[in-house]
Amino acid sequence: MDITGESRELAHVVMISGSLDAVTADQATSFLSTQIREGHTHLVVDLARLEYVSSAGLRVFLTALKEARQQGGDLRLAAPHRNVQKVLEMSGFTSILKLYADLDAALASYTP
Amino acid sequence: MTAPAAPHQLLILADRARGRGALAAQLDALGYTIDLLEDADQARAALADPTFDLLLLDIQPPQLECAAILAQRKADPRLRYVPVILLAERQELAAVEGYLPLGADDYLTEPFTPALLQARLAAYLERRRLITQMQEYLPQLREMEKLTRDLTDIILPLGAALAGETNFDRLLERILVEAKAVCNADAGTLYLRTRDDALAFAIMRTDSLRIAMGGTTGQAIPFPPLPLHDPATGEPNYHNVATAVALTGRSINIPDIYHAQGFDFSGTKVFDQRNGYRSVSSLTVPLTNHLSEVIGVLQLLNAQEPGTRQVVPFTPYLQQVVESLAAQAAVVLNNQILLQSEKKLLSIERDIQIGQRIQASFLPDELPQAPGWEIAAVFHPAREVSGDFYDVFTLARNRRIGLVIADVCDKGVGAAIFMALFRSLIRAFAQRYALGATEILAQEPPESPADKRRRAAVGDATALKSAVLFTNNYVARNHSQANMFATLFFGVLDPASGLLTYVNGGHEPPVLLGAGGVKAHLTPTGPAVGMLPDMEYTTRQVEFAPGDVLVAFTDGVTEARGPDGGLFGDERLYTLLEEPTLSAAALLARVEADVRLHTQGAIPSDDITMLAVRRGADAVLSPKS
Repeated sequence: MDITGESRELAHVVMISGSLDAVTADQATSFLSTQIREGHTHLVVDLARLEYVSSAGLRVFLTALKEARQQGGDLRLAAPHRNVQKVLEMSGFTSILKLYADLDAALASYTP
Repeated sequence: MTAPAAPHQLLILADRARGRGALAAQLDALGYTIDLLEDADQARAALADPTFDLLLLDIQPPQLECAAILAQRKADPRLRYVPVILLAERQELAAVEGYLPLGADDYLTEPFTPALLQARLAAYLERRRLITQMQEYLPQLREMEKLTRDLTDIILPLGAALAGETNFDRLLERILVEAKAVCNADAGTLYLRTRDDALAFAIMRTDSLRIAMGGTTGQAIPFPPLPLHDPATGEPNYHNVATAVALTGRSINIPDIYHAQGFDFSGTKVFDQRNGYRSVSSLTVPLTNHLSEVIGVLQLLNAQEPGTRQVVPFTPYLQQVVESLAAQAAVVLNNQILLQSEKKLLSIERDIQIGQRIQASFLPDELPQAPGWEIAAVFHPAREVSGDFYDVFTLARNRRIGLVIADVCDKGVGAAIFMALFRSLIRAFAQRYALGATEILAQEPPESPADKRRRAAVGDATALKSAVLFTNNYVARNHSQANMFATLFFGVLDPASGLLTYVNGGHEPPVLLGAGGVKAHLTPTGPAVGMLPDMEYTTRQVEFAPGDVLVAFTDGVTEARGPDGGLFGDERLYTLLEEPTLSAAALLARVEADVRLHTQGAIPSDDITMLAVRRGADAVLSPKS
C-alpha cells in the first residue's frame, strides 16, 4: 500500500493505492489522522488505485470519518473500483459516508 | 397439539337442595373433577388450602355468607387469579349485581345447558392458565433483565477496560474495586498465586475501617503468603477458604464465617478483634486461566443491603455475576502475568496466542440441533486472530434457534475482545427480547394457526431487530473510541415452520440452496454493526423447503489467497455450493477441501468460517409452532 496527501482548492485529497487490509490499516489510519490534526478536515480519499479493501481496511475510513466530522469537516470517497464499491455497499458504508464516481465530482461536492 | 391436560378441578359451594346436584352431575359428565361442598367449615377449609382451578359459588350458599367467601378469596393472594362464577336463579339478578363488585368474575343463571357451561368455563380456565404462565415468566424476565443490565453496564465494559489497563497494580485494584461495587461489599482481598505454591496477598480493602493496602497504595501487606500445601507433609491446605478455592477451582459462598464448618478463620478473627470489626458473609471465587489453572483468588467480605448497609449473605445471583467478572478479569490478568514473567516472548507472538485463546473460548463447543434439521460449522483460525466468529444458540425455550456469523474488523487481541462483546450482547439481548416477544405473543389464544404463525414471526422479528439495534448502539456509544464494528448476520429459525427471520448487518450474503441451485442471497438489510449509533436495520424472512440448505460464510472463504495471490472468489464458491448434497457437514467439508487446495503453499491470511443449516428432506416435522 502507498498513501499520499495533496491539498486542492476545495479539499485535501488522499490517494491510497494497493491493498488496504489488516497489515496496512494502521499505517493508513495514522496518516489520515495526522492530516486531520494538521487542519485538513475536508477530505476526499481517492480510491482510483485501491485494488482491495478488507473489513480492517474499512475501519480506516470509519476512524478518519469520525475524526474529520468531530473537527467540523467530512471525509468523502471517490472513484472506487467495482470490487471496492461492492464492499463499501455491502458493509453499509455508503449509508454513512458520501461516495462519488470520480475525483472531480467529490471535490465539487465541497463547493460552498 | 398440546397433550390432554389433567381434568380441571372445580369447587362448587352450593346447596344441593337448590338443584345444584344436577349441575354437578352435568359438569362431571363434561369431564371436570367436581367437589361440591355444602358445609360452611368445609368450604372455609377448601378456600384456605386451594387446590381447585375455578370456583362456582351459589349466591345463596347454605349456612354462610356469599360476601364472606368473596372477602376470603380477595384477601388470599393464592386465590387472586382463581376465577369465581356466581350461580343464581333468573329472578336473583339484583343480588348478583350486588356481589359482582366484591370480586366475582361472572355469573350463570338457570337453566344451565352443557354447551353454555362448557363455553363459559373454558374461557375462564384458559384465562387463568395464561395468567399463571405469565406469572411464571415474570421472575425469569426480571432476572434476565437484571443480568443483561449487569452484563452490559458492568461486566463487559469492565472486561474491555481491564484489557486496556497496562499498569499491573492499577489492574489489580480495578478488579477488586469493581467486584466489591457489584456486591456492595465492604471488604475484599485479591490473592495471586506465587511460583512457590502459595497465595500471596496482592491487594486488600476494608472500606468501613478505611484500610487500603497493596496495589497502588504503596503500603505493603504485612501478612505472609498462604501455602497451598503443607510444606512438611505435602498435604493440601483445605482449611483456609482462599487456598481451598485455589485448590478446587470452585467458589465458596459462606453466609456467616463465624458459623462455618470446616474452615479455619482464625486469621480473620484475629483481624476482627484487633480492628473492632465483624466479618460475616464471604464469597470467594477463583480466577482461572484458559488452561484451568487458578492464577488468583478473589475474596469479598460483608455484602451489604444497598440502602440500609445491613450485612447480608451473597446471593446465588451475585455469585454468578462475580464469577462472570472473575472470568473476564482472569483473561486480562493472565495476559499481564504472561507479560511480566515471559518478557522474552515477542509481543506479537504473545498477542497472537492470547487472541487465539480468547477466540477459542467463545466459540460454541456443541451446536444445538433440532429434529429434522442439521446444523454444521467449520472454523479455521488464521495464525493471527482476524475476528471471525459464529454462534448457534436456542431461544424461547428451544422453540427457536439463533444463528450468528460475523467478522469483527480487527485482528489480534482487540478483535478477540470485541468478538466476545458482540457475541455476549447479541445473545443477551436476543434472549431478553425473545422471552418478551415470542413467548408471550405466541401464547395468546384463541387464534387461527395462520394468525399464530404470523404473530410468532412478528415476535421473532422484534427480538431480532431489538438485539441488533441495541448491540449496534451499545458498541457505537460505549466503545466509540475504538471505532470497532462487525459485519454480522443474525437469523432466528423456527424449526417447526422452516421460517428464518434475519437481519444482515453488512455481511457477505448467506446463500439459500434448493434442489435447483441458489434460491436466494440473503443480502444486507442494514449496515455493519457498531459503526455509528441509531443506524436502521430491517428484518426479512425466507422459508426453507425440505432439503434446502443455508450456507453462511465470511470473506475469509471468498478472499482466501493462493500462492500466486489470486482470490478463491465468489464464483468458485457458488459452483461448489450448487452441487447436490445430502448433508450440511458434507457440503462444508467439500468447500473447505477446495479452499485448502487453492491456498496450498500460501500462508493463511484470514480466518475461514462457515455455518450451514439444512432442513431434512423427509418432512418429519411436527405441525406445532
